[in-house]
Amino acid sequence: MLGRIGIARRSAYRFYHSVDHTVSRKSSIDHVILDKALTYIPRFGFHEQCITQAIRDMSYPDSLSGVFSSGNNKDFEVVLHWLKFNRNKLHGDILDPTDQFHAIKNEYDRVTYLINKRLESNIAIKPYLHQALAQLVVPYNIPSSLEELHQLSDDIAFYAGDNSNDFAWYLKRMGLSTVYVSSELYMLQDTSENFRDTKEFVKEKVDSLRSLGTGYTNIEQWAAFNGISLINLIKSQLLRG
Amino acid sequence: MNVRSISLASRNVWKARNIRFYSQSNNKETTHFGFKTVDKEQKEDLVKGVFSSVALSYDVMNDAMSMGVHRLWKSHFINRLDAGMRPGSDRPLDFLDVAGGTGDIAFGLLDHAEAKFGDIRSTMTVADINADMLREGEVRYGKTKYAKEPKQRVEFMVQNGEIMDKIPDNSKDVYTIAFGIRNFTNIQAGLNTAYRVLRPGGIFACLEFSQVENPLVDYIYQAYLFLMLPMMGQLIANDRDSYQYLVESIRKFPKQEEFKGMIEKAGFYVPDQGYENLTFGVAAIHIGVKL
Repeated sequence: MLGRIGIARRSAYRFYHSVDHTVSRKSSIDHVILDKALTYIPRFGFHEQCITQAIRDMSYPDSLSGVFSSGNNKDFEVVLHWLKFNRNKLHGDILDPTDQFHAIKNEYDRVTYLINKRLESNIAIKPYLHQALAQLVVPYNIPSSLEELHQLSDDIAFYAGDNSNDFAWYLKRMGLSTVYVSSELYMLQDTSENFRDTKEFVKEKVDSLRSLGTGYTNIEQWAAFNGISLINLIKSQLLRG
Repeated sequence: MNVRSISLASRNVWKARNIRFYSQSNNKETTHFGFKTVDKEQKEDLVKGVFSSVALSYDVMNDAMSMGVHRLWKSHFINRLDAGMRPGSDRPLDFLDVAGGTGDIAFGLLDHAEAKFGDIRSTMTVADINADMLREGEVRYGKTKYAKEPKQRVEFMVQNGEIMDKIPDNSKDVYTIAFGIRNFTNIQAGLNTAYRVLRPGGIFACLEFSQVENPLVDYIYQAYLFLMLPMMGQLIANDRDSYQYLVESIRKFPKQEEFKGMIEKAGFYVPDQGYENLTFGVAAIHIGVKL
């Protein structure tokens, strides 16, 4: 009997789990071209010119740009790769054992650190950041944009040490995505020295996420307690006949 | 299910009779011509016969059969490739459109290159095994603006796509083939030749009928193919057998994954998923890059 349950459990489909979203096939030609194209963003912005230039640098014919499935929309290809590249960089950074990240113990403080770290990558291309954001909200691109955003918030939650396994899993990721997007938009307008205001903004938002989390846990406990009490009440009334 | 199994059964009887007709000697190598099995040397002639007889009504039939969707596929194919000499480049591109008889892909690619990149120097070679189809293309070429250019950029030549004896190695940048490769006697040889004629960095792009993955949609699609198409061929082009062949050759063509494997076998690098399904997989775009 026990054995059968064990087998059933093992074969059951897991609806949520954390996965490692690394960019696949790093040595493939499309990946190499895009990596090179990223170095041209400070010069051309998020424009397909970056890809054209990268291909030319490798002395391949212009026709090679057909390797990208996005066809006409190569600007977005650059944007998407930029996001993936920086998400991976985040992963690489915290793998470094000397990184100060490892000294932070609290989950939410880690989140703050990671979001700030990710936003730092934007500084170099800040004059063009609005182009990237504009591409991301084009309706046709939204599915890919949201997927990438979810993967970023999933990574951040995972590195921060999130181990929720109920509905909080979704709430946390949605919350992190909201915080990240609003912080990035805030950064767009931020003129303070060293983006001090943005850092303050991130801290504030993560704090409210933290209190939201506490609130959520409280409501969950309250609902569970009252639910059980209600059942017990009904049971006792039924027993009385 | 009934309709299809009955029609397949009756065709098998018909097929059995034809096999005998085509295979006089048993020791020759055979291949498929639609659902029939024929000697390898014969297939080329048979395919020629089909396309010679449909050359004139080709586009009318394509429109009727696909309800105009083939134009969308072709336009998407051209946009997907997004080929053309970029501004500031020092070398124009050399296009090769194989089985490009009527030239719609060829002119479409040149139009795209000019409209998007201002490229008016890239050259186009249109190759087709069938002189009748190619003549149809040349007539159309006469009506395009490219015919009026002082320096001719478009060239037509009768070539067998499996050999391409007039096209030197490493001489083309873009190899396109739309709805042609399934008629090759030896598809792998065609792919190997594509690899041979392309320059490093050159791209192979193929638009071809494929297999519908959703079983329900596939059932409806099969019914449409086998019941409607030969009848439309009879009514519009007065040529039932040629369209019967087209339908059967669509069925015989390898599935997406299998064809992707063949492209890789020829030496190409296949990016991403390797193919893009159009309209549930009725057609698919395959891409390969020579590195």
